[in-house]
Amino acid sequence: MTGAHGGHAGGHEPALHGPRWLSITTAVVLGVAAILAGVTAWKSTVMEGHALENLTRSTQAVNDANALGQEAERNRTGERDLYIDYRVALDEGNDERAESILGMMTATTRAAIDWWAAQPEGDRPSSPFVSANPEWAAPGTVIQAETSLEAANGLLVKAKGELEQAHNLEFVAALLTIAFLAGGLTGLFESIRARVGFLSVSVVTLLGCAVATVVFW
Amino acid sequence: MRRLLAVALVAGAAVAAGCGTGGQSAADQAAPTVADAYLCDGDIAVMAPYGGFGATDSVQMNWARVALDKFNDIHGTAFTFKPYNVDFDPDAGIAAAERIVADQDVVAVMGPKTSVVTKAVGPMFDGAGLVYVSPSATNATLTDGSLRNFYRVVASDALQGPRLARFIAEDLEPTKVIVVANEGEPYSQGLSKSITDGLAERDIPFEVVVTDLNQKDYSDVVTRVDEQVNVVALPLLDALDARRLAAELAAAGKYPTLIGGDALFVSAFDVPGAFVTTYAPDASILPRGRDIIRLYESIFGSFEAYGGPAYVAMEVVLTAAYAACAEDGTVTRRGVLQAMPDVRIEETILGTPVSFTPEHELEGATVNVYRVTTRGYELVG
Repeated sequence: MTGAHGGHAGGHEPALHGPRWLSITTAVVLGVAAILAGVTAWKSTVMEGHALENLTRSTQAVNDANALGQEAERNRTGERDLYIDYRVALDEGNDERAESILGMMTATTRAAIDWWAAQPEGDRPSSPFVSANPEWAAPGTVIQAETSLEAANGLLVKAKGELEQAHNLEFVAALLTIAFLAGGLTGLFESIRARVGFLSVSVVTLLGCAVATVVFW
Repeated sequence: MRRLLAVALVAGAAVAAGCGTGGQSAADQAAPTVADAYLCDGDIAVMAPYGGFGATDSVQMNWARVALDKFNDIHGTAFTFKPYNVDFDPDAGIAAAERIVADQDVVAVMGPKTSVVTKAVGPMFDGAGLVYVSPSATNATLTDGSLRNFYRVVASDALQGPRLARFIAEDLEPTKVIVVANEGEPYSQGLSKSITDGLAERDIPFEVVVTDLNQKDYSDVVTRVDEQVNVVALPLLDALDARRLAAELAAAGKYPTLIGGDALFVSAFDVPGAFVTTYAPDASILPRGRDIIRLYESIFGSFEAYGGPAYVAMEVVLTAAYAACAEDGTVTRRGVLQAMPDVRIEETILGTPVSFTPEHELEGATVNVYRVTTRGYELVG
């Protein structure tokens, strides 16, 4: 190998290969690459954490939605069944049984029936459980369940986005190893051209990764 | 200016919050919310038929209810509604309007359904400072300035009639057209006149036959459908009347092409091959529309497209009420009235934006023609 010898005027210490600026530049590039690798790895971990959190929240929201949906369905079926029993009891003149069934109803169901019973005969719907009855609570419960499901879907989409972001950043961190490798190889050659060539690869990779990090941040 | 901004932002928030399946969008996060939204309350009177067995019975009420509960769920508001069972009987409308006007909890009205009732009760609502937004009253004269606080979210018959006439002329190759209209009913009379004007302009032979609302026997109409007649236009108010007429024509072995107005855009008019008009594209073409249809079906079972504008009308009323609340901290008739002209909803479940012209007509309203098929409706123009 040949090459220019730098070093001090005394010339007894081990001489640096090539011009000093090349060594300094290599060191700076490797240092920046190390910092960037650390930052992307940190951000990737943070994003994975967020994704995990949102996945958990999404699961919880789906559970809530299912519970609300089941509750709405149970209430709708239950209130209709109880109402039919109640009407039958009234029609049979069994006031005691009617009273007992009324006691089994929820407050909202009783309110729905009260509203219905209070309507003038000409305007009274065939059932208390219709949209015109402001006291009928089932639509609101179904809508709450639907909203919860929408929120769950939203969180799931967000979590997927965050996971993708984390994976992209991990990929950037992996690419940075090229910068390390190329930067490390510069020290093995005495040819200035070879060293500058490896350093260029390292710099280009570093710049590319820096841009990618900004894009995927 | 503040009110204009508030209404636009509120509408934007409503759209963003209702959109798609996703979580909060950037627009959603950026939209202002009313502090203590639960204090935004007030009754919306809903004037629509329920409890009976008419072709459109309960449909608008169902859609209005979904709109109200959805709006409250999104915004945290506490608006409630009061139902008034009014279809096309002006006397019933007047009786209901008297109660609405006297009830100071009522801040606005969604309805009436029909033009005839709108004409009867409009001056009462105007006098009481109440906004009333109809999802289906289409008579052209309703927006001639005589009804100050009337708005509608559907196209006027000034658009619908000419569209029907053009479709008949250009797509149905008419030799002679029979136009069947209801006696003395403003919607039917207005639409009928508009159709016949369009046919006359094009020198298409036509004959008008007048029938009663809910007429049981259409033999007089069937008799007039001779070999020359290949199109029967049905600007009728009640879809059950139109179905009855179609059945009598078929029983007599006569199969002219049938075409009706928006009042026949209901499942009760299930005559495959017939054409009907409506004011908006199919709600199911948009994600938001599909979401709301799914919601509707999960509450009420079968889907009824006719009521879609009732959802939009209720959304308009609530958006104005919410804007009034944002402006004044409370909802009053006066506040809603002032907020109404500035209501803008960028995307409704029908796929069309909502804003109003100075005459209170729907900006950019269109009329679409659908073919009735055994599988539903097919957009043809």
